[in-house]
Amino acid sequence: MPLIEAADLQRHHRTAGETVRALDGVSLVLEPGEHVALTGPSGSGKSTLLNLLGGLERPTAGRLLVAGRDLAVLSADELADYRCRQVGMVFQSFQLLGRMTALENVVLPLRLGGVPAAERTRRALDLLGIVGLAARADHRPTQLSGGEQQRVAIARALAMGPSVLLADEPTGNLDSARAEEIMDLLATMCRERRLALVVVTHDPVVAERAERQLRLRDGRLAGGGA
Amino acid sequence: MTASDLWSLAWSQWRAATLRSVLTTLGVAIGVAAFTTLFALGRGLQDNFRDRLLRGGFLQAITVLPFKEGEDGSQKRLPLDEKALDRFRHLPGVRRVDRDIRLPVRARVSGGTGKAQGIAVAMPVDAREAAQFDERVAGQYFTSELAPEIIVTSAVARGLGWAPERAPGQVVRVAPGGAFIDRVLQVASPFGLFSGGGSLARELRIVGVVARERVGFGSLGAAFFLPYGTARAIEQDLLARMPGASRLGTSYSASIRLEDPAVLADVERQVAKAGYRTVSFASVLERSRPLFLLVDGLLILIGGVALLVASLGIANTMITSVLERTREIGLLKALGGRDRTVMALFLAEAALHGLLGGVLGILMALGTGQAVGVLADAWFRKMGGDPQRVFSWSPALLLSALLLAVGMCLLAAIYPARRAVRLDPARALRHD
Ligand SMILES: Nc1ncnc2c1ncn2[C@@H]1O[C@H](COP(=O)(O)OP(=O)(O)O)[C@@H](O)[C@H]1O
Ligand SMILES: [Mg+2]
Repeated sequence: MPLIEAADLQRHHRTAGETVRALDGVSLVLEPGEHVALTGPSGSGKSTLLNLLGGLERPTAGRLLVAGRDLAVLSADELADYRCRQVGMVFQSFQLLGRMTALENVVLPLRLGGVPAAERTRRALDLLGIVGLAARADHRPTQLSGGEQQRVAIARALAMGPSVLLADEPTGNLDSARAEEIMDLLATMCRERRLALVVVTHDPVVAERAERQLRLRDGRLAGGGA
Repeated sequence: MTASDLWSLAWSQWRAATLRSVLTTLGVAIGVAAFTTLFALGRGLQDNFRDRLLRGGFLQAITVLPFKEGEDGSQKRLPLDEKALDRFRHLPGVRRVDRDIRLPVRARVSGGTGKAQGIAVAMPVDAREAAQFDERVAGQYFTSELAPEIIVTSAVARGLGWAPERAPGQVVRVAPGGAFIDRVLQVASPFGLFSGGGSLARELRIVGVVARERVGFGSLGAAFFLPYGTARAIEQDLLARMPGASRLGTSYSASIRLEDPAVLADVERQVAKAGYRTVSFASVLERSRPLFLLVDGLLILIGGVALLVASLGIANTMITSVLERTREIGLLKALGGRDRTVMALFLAEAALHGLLGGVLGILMALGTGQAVGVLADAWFRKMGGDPQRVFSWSPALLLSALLLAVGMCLLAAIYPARRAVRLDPARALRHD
């Protein structure tokens, strides 16, 4: 059974009487452990598709099944729990909380997920070890380089053991050497943990690493869909 | 998310914006301090007033007047004799009932020049709760009902030629006397040999000196105080010398003294049912309760304004906080935070302001109370009075202040928290 099944996904925004079709009929299938790159010009709907998959936005129309569950019928709380347990998100600008240490940032989703205190510290430290930052647990984001911050963000995305990892231009703020390291890390996690990995990118080198490339144009898939 | 998680996140946010948090918390603290202090002041003034009335015997005493009032407003005299007084003595909660004795007297120092004149009031030996005996300048209270003793005001002591502290132990000659008595006695004495009541003089030892010529139930305007039995003996002598003068009017009323102020209303009702007119300070006080409530209300209003201003500060801080932390709120939601969790987080932050501000405000109020108390003490002493309570603090007041602070902060945070909940995470996390 595929992990994600999207059929004719629509996402419209009505602003000032005008309707923007951010997504205009996207269908795709994703298998567990599959690594997909999502490319396309700016404004083509890449982030919108990622947000729909991540349960941050709801589709205007169409069907979206994740692990057999229809996201459209979930209540707000159920959708929040879906984001908590099934999805890990990584952003271009890292989105770490500056007042917290690396460890506390990784602990945050575990707190939201109700993991007991002792258990979550252990898990967060494990993950920081896996992303190579065991020694930097007590550092704040400002004391870390961009690549290191993105590693913390990846550790955070993995904390609750998701089945889908969604990365929106994760290397957009990094130099090419750092970008390669981050992509190595993401690819390894995808393989080892059998995560479906969707990476939005402008960088052909990054896109090349995926097993499959999806191209969006004006809210429609121009290639690579289901 | 557990409560301890909420608190630790709220606390980490409090620390992250230290200056703003301190200022906001301080605003709450000042509001709470103002409110609490004013409330305690209102309470203190009333308690103080009540204490003095209690000590003065005002709230344990009823004066009975020998009148019956008709429906039409007419008055009928009723006997206020021993039989009537005995009836009152048997009412539950009554400690004693005495005919009020007020005698005009003159006092002289034997072989000296000092003299004084004024009203002498008979005091039961067990009525030392009357305020002026608590505010004794020197000496003590009467030793027994029939002791040849007298207590005078400091003005009288000076008139007799002694500093108030030196008066106790001195002996004075006291005789009934005043314009009216003098005239009657002159007529009554066959050869006009005696001038006034001088022949009825008794040697009495001054045992105490009280500060002021005032207060104490039934002793308004008194300059001298006599043990009840001694006063009655003087009165008997006087009546013996004034044939047919038993209606001289030395006794016009009676005082009922109670075990406990709580039974006052009951006893007063019983006496009134027997047809007598009663006067009690407590009933007057009861009628002026609305005035006290008004004063309370005004003080609370002023304190409430301070609290309101503080709550605007809270609302402002929380809204700023929500606007500033758009990304953080979006992130919390993206990481799986439910609406209720986001709401709880902001409310916890507000409650933290309320808790810290409340505790600080209570400490500030208590500190202010201490400082004002010390100053007021010094002032009262300088004015020749005794130290008085200005504020009344109670655990209930302090606890209410704390709850009020927290409640107010929560209320002020509802709108900002709702805004945080409504925030669209996708838009909040947009890269551009
Ligand atoms: N909340 C929104 N309101 C209105 N228009 C939006 C909103 N979100 C996205 N859009 C529009 O939808 C289109 C797709 O946006 P997006 O998914 O961010 O594109 P990409 O990530 O490929 O650059 C854009 O035209 C964008 O302006
Ligand atoms: Mg985008």
